[in-house]
Order: sequence, then C-alpha cells, then structure tokens
Amino acid sequence: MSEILATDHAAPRHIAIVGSGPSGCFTAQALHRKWPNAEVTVFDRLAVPYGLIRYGVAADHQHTKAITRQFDRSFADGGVRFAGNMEVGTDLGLDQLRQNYDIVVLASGRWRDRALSIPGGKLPGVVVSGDIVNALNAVPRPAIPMPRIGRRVVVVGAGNVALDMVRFLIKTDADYEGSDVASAALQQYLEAPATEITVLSRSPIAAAKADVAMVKELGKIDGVKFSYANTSPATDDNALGRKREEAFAQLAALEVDNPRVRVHFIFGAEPGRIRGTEHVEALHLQAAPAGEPSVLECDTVISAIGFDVNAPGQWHYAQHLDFTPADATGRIEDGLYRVGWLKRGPHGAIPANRADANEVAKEIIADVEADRFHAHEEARGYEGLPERARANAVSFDDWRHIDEAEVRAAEPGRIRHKITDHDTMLATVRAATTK
Amino acid sequence: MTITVLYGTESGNSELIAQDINDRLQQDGHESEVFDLQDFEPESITADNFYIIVCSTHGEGELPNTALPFFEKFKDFAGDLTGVRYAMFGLGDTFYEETYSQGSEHLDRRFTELGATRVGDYGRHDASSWDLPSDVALEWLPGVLGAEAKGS
Repeated sequence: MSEILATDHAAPRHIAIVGSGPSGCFTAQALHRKWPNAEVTVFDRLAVPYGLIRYGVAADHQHTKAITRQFDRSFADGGVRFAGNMEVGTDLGLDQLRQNYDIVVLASGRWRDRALSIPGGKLPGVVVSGDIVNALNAVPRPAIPMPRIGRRVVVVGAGNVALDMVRFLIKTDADYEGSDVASAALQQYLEAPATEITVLSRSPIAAAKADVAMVKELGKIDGVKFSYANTSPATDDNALGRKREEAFAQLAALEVDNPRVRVHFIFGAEPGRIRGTEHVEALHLQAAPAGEPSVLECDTVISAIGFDVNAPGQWHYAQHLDFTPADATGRIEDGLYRVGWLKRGPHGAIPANRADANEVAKEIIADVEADRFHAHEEARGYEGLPERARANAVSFDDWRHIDEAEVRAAEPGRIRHKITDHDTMLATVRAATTK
Repeated sequence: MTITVLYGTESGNSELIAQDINDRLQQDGHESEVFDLQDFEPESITADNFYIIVCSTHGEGELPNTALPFFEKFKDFAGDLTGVRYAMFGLGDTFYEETYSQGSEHLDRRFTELGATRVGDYGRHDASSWDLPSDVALEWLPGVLGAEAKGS
C-alpha cells in the first residue's frame, strides 16, 4: 500500500469482512475495486478460505468450485488479506473489530439443516443432508463422520441439495474422477450402497426447486433405473416447469439392463410420520399421487429440506443483533452490514449471492459518500487487533502450504485429499513456515 | 477508436475475464472501457467503437443474469448496426454438451441480425477443462485485434 498517496477523506481505510464464503469474497472484491488503497481483511474461523464453495458445493461439482480462482487472485496479489483461524466471538470480539475498522461486513452464512419436524424425525437412521455433505467435503472443526446408510433410502426434498444427495447415493467410485471427494467417507458408503431410493417432493415437478441441468445430470450416471409419479402438470405458460417435466420424462425413458439401483421420485408427496422402535423402519405418507403406496419401508431417511433460518450458534458473535432475513438492505447500523445468506436467508445459489454482494457493496459505497460511516482516527485496522489472535492467524500464503499438502496427498483419480482436522492444518502451516 | 468490453455474468467469471482484457488493452496503449451488460444500452452501440463481448451460459443454454435485461432491450432494438464490428468470447461447460457455450450465442445472433460483423475466431472457454479462463481469453485476444486491424 502506498503511503505517499494523499489520503482520500471520503474513503474508508480499514474494511473487515467476517466469513470467506462466496458472499464475503464477492463483497471484498467489489470494495477492494472501489477503494484499492483501503486495507480489506477477510476473516474466517477455519484455517482455509472459501466456506461454502469448498465445503458446501458437492465434491463432484468441481466446475462450480473453480470460481475460487477469481478470489485466489485478489488474495494472492496482496490486495485483500485473508485471516484464517480467527473466529469472531472467540479469538476476538465483534466490538474489537468495530473499534479497529471503519466498516465491518458480516458474511458468515447460515449452515444448519432444517430438521424434519414430523413424528419419528429423531429416530436413529434419520440423517440430515448436511452431515453427508460435510463428510464428503471433509469439513473440519468439527469433522463429522459419514453416517451409516442402509439399502433402502428415502430422500425428503427435491431441491438441488436433494439432487446432490441422489447423485451421491447412485454414483460409483469411477464417477468421482477428477474430484476432491473425501475418499474414506465415500468408501464407507460404497461398501454397501443403496439399491432402492425414493425421493419425495411436496410440490409437483412444475414447481419443484431443482435446476433442470441438475436433473439431466442424473441421466449421465450408468446402471440406474429412474421412474417418477407426478400430480398436476405444468400450465402452458410455465416454460421452466415444462422443461423440468421433460427432463424427468427423459430420465424415466432411459433403458437400463440389470440396473444396480432404482430411483423413484414421488411429486406431490407429503411425509406424515416415520415409524420405528429402535431405528427407522418405514415412512408413512399422508398425501401421495394416486397409485403410489402410502407406506415406504426403508432403512434410512435423508432430509434435504433446506437450512434453518434461526438455528442457534449461527451468529454466536452477535447475539444481540437481529438476523431476520431481509432483502431490502444489508445495513444493520452505521458501519455495520450483512450480506448473502446471513442477510437474505438461506436460499439462492452462488450467482444470486454474488448479485447481493454487489448490491450491499453499492449500499456501502453510497453510505460512505454520504458520510454515513465513522472513520475513527484511532482505528488501526488489522494491526489494532489482539496480538495473540494475529499470531495464530493463517494468512493466504500459509493456506497455500495446506493447499500444496492436500494436492500432494491426492489419491489416483482425485485432485486433492483434504485435511479434515483443524489442528493438522495448523501444524502443516507451522512445519512449512519454520523450516 | 475505443474498444468497449462488455460482459454478462452469473458467478463473476466473465467479469474477471472482461476486466483482464480491458487491463491488457490499456497496457498495450489502446483506448478501452469495460461495462457490465446490465449497465449498457443498445442505443449506445456505434461503428466508431470495436466491441468485445464476454458472456457465460446459464441453465439450459440461456443467458446469464446480468445479460438478461440488456438482451430484452436488444431484441426490441430496431437500429441498423451495419458497419459495427465485434468479437465474441463465450464461456460454457462441455459437461452440458447439448447447451455448451450457448449463452453468448444469443447475443451473437442478434448482433448479426442487426447488421454487425463478427471479427476473428469465436473464443470459447470450457469450465470442464483446467484452463484458466483469463489465460484462454488473453491468448485469443491478439488474433481478434489482428483481424480487426486488417478489416478496418
């Protein structure tokens, strides 16, 4: 940063972003572009950047994960600082950030699954999609083991995460070529994979949430017989709904000799209760299309019905603030903003949150230009944060050592073997930087 | 002559490429500017400028988010673009073979319908390859500029 440039009084000097997922990184990019001389720091409680991109996007969707390359550049050229292993609320307080930064943007997301709130929803054998995604993506802090999954599986939900679950249930090892899936977690499942899968959607195909491309993708996986039952067809003016119907019709039309697994989608199905004494035995439907059974015998129920808006612990660093979803504004108070899922609620994929990050960045810029931010003279930015927290921080260069170690450890057919343990990540950095 | 770089994007990749192209052009002494298509009007297209359009593909071969409002206006736009020269760089993913890179083609077709001339090779980046999008675009750029210099 050039010290000799005249300081522009209408520009913030220090900007903090809490969370290095897509919303945080897109916001950092936009603000860094606007104020190239401001110090922009992106904090993360993990030792590694990119949040949902690294840990939420399915391991077999590497083409989606590739967007991190845009962010790599902002961090690598020193324009934006990454400060990993710095948890706001634990290693430093939100108040310490506010004292040292002109602008603080909260981008920590919402990550807890919405639980299935029907009788029997807590029986052993009922699994949330998040636990499976976490195991396959090797999420640390805490690392969650792959849940046990039986032969007969019911998936509740038919959005994109539910389809991520279906792909995982029907793919073979060979289908993960070129991915960074956590091999041990995957192998545990592939030792005895599911053979009968039923997917339940409350809405008809026309109104289901899954992207058409995600439906079509299922048809590329060999050895699977698809079928479906639908309730009300799409109206003539619902072009997208009709495309989705067509995609399901194409799936069901695929001829498969000796399928290794069958997948049956039931649209217009409403789960009533889960039956079982020690463990899941069956799921009872309280509504289903004509001709469909009302009882589904099963060993495992996977719920993929979205994220919990208000799950405890999602913002332990700011219990006093109200994080009710709001589309209109990202501003919480002067100098404090929120963006992405933490602002809008847990919906929309990466592009929608990129658009939101740009909106909130515009809002911040407008506020700054209207002098609605307090540039306090004593704010020292990153240097003003507790020394202990900074001493333990993982920089972007440090992360590169973790990255290299993971890429080096990749098994054949994989591009990386993720380190699952937070302390091992920190030890990897220490070993590389104290040579 | 000003070179106007336009981009339509969903997740920011096209934006980054467009900015890299713009930076490279300025480094090489060209007069250039860059716009998101959502901040650009068809009425401002002029034969005095050369246009480079970077556009990704969304969903079923459709245009990305930020190109949609522009395309609606562009469809209804009745101006004559004879003499306007442009180059296209499309992003897509061969994983979706049927719709690979089709997002940008909607714009390309409309430019041609209105009388504009495409210059040089149609650039493409495939997300299923491990090539960095900007590397591919910056390798493609000199050929386009050469073709443009010959033609003008």
